[in-house]
Amino acid sequence: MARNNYLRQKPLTLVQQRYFLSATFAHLHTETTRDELRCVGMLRPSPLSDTYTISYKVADRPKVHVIRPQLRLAPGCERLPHVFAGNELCLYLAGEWRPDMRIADFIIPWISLWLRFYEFWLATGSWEGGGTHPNAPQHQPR
Amino acid sequence: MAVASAPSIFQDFSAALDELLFEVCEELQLTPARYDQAVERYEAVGDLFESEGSPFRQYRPKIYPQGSMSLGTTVKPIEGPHDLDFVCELSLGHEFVDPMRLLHALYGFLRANATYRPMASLMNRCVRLEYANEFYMDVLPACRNGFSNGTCIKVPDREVKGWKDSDPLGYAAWFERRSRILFLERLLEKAEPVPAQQAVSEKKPLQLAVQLIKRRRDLYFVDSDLATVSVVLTTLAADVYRGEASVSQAISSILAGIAARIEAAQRSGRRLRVPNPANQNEDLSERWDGNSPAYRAFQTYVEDFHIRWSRVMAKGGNVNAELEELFGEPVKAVLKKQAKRLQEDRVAGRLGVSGGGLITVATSARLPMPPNTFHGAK
Repeated sequence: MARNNYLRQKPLTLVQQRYFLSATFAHLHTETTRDELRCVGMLRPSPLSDTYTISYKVADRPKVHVIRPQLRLAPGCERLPHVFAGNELCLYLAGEWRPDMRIADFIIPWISLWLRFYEFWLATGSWEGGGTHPNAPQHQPR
Repeated sequence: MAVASAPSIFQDFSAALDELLFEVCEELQLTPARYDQAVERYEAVGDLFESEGSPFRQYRPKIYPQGSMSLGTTVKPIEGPHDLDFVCELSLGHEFVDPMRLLHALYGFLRANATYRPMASLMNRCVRLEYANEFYMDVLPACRNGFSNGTCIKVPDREVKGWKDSDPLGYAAWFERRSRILFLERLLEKAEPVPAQQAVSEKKPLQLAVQLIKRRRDLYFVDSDLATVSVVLTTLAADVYRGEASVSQAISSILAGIAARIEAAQRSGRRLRVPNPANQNEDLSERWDGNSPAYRAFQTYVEDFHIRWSRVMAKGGNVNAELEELFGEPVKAVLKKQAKRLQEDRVAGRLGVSGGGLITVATSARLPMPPNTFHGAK
């Protein structure tokens, strides 16, 4: 997993990303068009977790949404933690993922982790997964 | 805990559920520090009974725990401290003793002591010592049953102004046997010294199941005075238990077993009778006589729990909300701990992901979990 963080690599092509995704997570359904990779599939972060159907779209950066079951709010909480507008999951800070990194090795594990912390949050009202959360309520993705 | 800290090392729902339930029981039982404290406290009381000038000294008093502390099934009450029962047994046949005088002698003796005076109060069958913010220690004076051998004792009862039969050591031995029906281990001969507090991971599924059944009772009857007493639930559970190694499956089979007994009793036009396994003539459920609302409440408690539990087992996914409804606040406390452990493992780089998105400890995982920072407005 050693990666050279200062030497930018060539971005992986969508076809390459798709290949690595299918190789690691065979049950995810992927398809590519000329400038877009789409992926839909199920993830179960723990044996005591629901199975989530997630989808994402790669154009410039992967956008991840949970399709089923619908994300809910913990009692007394008014908003989901660590999401962008439209409940797009906020999985990483700028620089933690770059287009030369495999989506299969980075984005998918982070989705599982986000879902697991979400389940704990849903039951306890407390997000133990750390992270940053700028105060701006209409926080925009970079 | 003997198991690794990542909550998801078990591939299978039932095993992961058992792990969660273990931790809930750990929240419910006496903390190890409290337990040691209780042992220290009762030994001190025992020393006092044996000290020079004690009227009990010549009868070689033995003090030992009974009930949940000796069975390993303590459950923190919803409000207030744990309530621990102890027997102070005299080497003296009951036929030579006046029961009411014995109870009052015990009370008077503790009241005459500067330490215990402010803590002691007289109850129906015992003297209660109230250790502020720690626990209640109920001490039942007892004599040997002069007409019986073995572990049978007689205890004073103010309501009947006479003796009542009891056999806490015999009961504990029976419960121990029932909890081991799966394991062909030899029964401990002597139940007398308190078994060193067992970590939950060493506890038998029956003990854990009884803790959870009692906890559910406490929540179900929170605003009612019809609650089924612990000894009835404990006896029924141990009696119908079939040796399941999994606590979640033990609960399923115990609830089904109790429901079947209620139904069988109903078919024969009677209420369920719960004899004391250590003394078949004693009906532990005698409180149901002339109190049919209490019996009906017991029936609906079992029915409700059975339905809810079947739903949990059938769901096979995220059952956090269902478990919290059943057992309350300790579930939340455990989930918070699990979340913190997950974060610790993540920071330490121990996590990985396997096919299907299952988060595991990295050694068994297909992929190590790369570091990231969740972002976005909280």
